[in-house]
Amino acid sequence: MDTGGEKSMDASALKAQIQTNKLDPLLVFTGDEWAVQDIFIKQISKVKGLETKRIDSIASVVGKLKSRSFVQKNYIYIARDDNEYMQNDKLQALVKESIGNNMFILLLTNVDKRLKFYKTYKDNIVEFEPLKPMVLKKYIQKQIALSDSACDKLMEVCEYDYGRCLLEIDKIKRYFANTWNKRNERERDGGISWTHKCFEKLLEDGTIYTPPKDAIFEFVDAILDRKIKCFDLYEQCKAVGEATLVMISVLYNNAKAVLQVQSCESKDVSKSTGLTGFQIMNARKHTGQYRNGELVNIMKLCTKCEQGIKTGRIEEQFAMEYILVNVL
Amino acid sequence: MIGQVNLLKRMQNLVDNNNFPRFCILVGDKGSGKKTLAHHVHLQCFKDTVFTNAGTSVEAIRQVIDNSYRVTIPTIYLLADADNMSVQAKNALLKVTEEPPNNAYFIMTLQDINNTLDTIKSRATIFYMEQYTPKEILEYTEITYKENNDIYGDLCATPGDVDLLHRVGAEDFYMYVEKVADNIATVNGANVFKIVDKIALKDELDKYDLKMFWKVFISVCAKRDDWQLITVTSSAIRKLGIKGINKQMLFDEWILEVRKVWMQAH
Repeated sequence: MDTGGEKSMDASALKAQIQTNKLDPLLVFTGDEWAVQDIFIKQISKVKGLETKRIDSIASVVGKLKSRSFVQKNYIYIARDDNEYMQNDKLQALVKESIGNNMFILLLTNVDKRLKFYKTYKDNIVEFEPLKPMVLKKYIQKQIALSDSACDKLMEVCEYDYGRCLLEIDKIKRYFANTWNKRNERERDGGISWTHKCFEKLLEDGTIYTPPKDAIFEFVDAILDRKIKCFDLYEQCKAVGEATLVMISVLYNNAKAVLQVQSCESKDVSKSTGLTGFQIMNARKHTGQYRNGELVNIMKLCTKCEQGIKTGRIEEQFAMEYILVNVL
Repeated sequence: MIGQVNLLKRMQNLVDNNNFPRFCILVGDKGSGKKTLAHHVHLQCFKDTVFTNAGTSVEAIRQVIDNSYRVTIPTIYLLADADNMSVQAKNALLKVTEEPPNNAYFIMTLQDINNTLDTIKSRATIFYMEQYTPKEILEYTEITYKENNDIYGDLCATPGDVDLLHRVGAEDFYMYVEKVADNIATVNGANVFKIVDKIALKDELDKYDLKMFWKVFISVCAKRDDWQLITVTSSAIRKLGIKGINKQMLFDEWILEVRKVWMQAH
């Protein structure tokens, strides 16, 4: 099992433990790569010959373990973020006593290294760091026939998260299976180019989710170009949690730059306005869309909203919409 | 200590009558001499006491409270510039304001009395810094900087203003503001926003203080009988008090308003 790329302190020890079947009955997995964690869990299950069982909390099964029934089956119990177990020394001792041939795997979204639990169970904790791009590409290409460039695009869109890549690959495979018979004769080349087509189609129509990047600058550009798509971009900005005050500040600075460039009569715009070459270049893209008076109005609206938010007179959640309605 | 005659007299009376409040708040503008007054009270009124500059973070407050219940010598704790004290720190202070320890006196300084909890206000004796007369300002300038220039008396309201003005050069500063007043309405729209290059929006020491700039601008406008611009500038100064205000945007707004008023008048 090749999991090269993880640099957890215990990763190689865990692999060795799995290979020699000398696993600790309690393991703690941390990190974002839940898909890789699942691979390890399946492997452990195979080696131990035990079924896995997802539970809400370790405390919920301790009673069963203590009862030691003859017909009791052994499992690999998997719990996520069981804070009660982490903070309860008595429960930990009880589990240790009654674990028998069962196994516990605790999945932690975040682990605080200052906690007593971390210090006590440090040797049982395996950190699954994000896979390196080269390794991730290998995994993806094992799952689906995609070229290097398509893989790079997929990894970028999935933010280099293997779990997300698997989900999107599943979508591509299903779309491929549903459309394979509908392809043209000249595309019957063994499926590679059709896979690409499926990937591009799903990317284009949004079935494969592409996270918005730097939506705030695109949003402000759309306002300064009087484009109606600014409302969609505003929703994207909200979705990624952009603060209203930040949006207002970016809009204000850009509108001001456009006003300065638009009203500059001198040939040396940079010297006249104090703006950098980059700012002037950006501002020039939007000149002519608004008259100077309208740009002044945008600046005043932004200032009014900024002060209103800080004094509590304007609700932050409505401020940007108020600006958009008055500007466009 | 220059000025604050009546306030000092009042405080001395309280000390003489053994009635000085265990917890008091000194309220005044930045640079009005609140910390200086607190030190003066310690040295002149409260002899044989220990004076401690306490911090305003939660940890500092908790340490101060802990110490204050154990001191055997009368101790004055100064909580300076408490305007930005966190809510947790203010809440931690409530305990000591309710049951002040026997040997401790707390003096908190604020620029705005509304920057503290109502519960703290209700338990404190509040002293407001008095206005300085032009004569007192000139006296401060002469003692501190050995300068005898009427411009300080005209433009400065507090010793802090004198320090600011002296640092940037009073004459040069006044000339700069006059130049701005002459040209702000007529200069090209592309250039006008460059006025801010010389204004300290983030406490830069080599630039002009924004509030001081506007005060001097008002003084220049007053000499020219330009009352509309005084109104616009006074409104801008008031907005400076809004916590977290974006000074860049406020200054630009002021520029646009000044130009608008000028255009309407001409």
